[in-house]
Amino acid sequence: MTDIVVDTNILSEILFQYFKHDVKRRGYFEPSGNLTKNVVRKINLIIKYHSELIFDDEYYPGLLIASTFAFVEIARKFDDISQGVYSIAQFAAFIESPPEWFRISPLDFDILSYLNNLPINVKGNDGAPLELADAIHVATALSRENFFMVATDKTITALEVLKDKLLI
Amino acid sequence: MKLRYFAKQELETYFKAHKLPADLFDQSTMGISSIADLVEICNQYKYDNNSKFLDDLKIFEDGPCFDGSLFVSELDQHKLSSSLFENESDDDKFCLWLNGTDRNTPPLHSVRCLTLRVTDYVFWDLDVFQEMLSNFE
Repeated sequence: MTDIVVDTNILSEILFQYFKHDVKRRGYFEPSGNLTKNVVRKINLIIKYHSELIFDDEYYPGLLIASTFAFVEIARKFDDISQGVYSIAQFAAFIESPPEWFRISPLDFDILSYLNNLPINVKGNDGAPLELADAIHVATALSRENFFMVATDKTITALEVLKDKLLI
Repeated sequence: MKLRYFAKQELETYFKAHKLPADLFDQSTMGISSIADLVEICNQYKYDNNSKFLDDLKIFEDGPCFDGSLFVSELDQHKLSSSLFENESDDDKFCLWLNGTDRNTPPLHSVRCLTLRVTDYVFWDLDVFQEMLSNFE
């Protein structure tokens, strides 16, 4: 089992395609933008497993995960991000009842210990500061037992703690 | 028992001295805080090069959180769903709740507003939310 945790930019692309191409009905994503062939292949495996109600622990592929914080960030720029492809009501419905292959991870006490262990500056990115918002997404990923992370921000992708954990 | 907003400054004081204000100490009042404040305090420890955050957090959890003097409102899926939206009163239009999505404030302030918003599912009243807003004016 390996969950896929996404940051706000990737979640934006997922929601855009989810509603634009009716992924709930169609059952798969297509490569587009930052959703590479490899990322989409792994996400589609997760969708297939959960949609077909396969109950086989050996092949359980995990879940697609984003933090509640990522949804807050999208809500703050809703018109820019949704681009009229989905409505506030559709956004609300997704949060209220996400597809079975998607989990909305809480911003809670458990995240704090992972957040605390992250550096404030990222060596691999010329010592650039790790913004708190990005740190929350990384802490969300680290809180999962096994995970891959999909992110676009260079300070996230340069983090040593994500070495071998980035899905590109 | 009275309920009141327990401000970030008060949390910071507790984390430093491990002492509660008198009204919470004698349990006549319960303080309500937001996870957003704890996230910011955690970050501040890192900037201060203070490695004791987890130790102080444990004292906080085992102390006032455990004995019910303090409640920290977290942001889970249910809270997000119940706080992020509203129906505008004039034409019943379904929309995003402005306090929780105002781009003129930092994203963590949105979290603070969403976690402390008064909905059918929380046990505090509007005073707590108003106290929080006043604190950040």
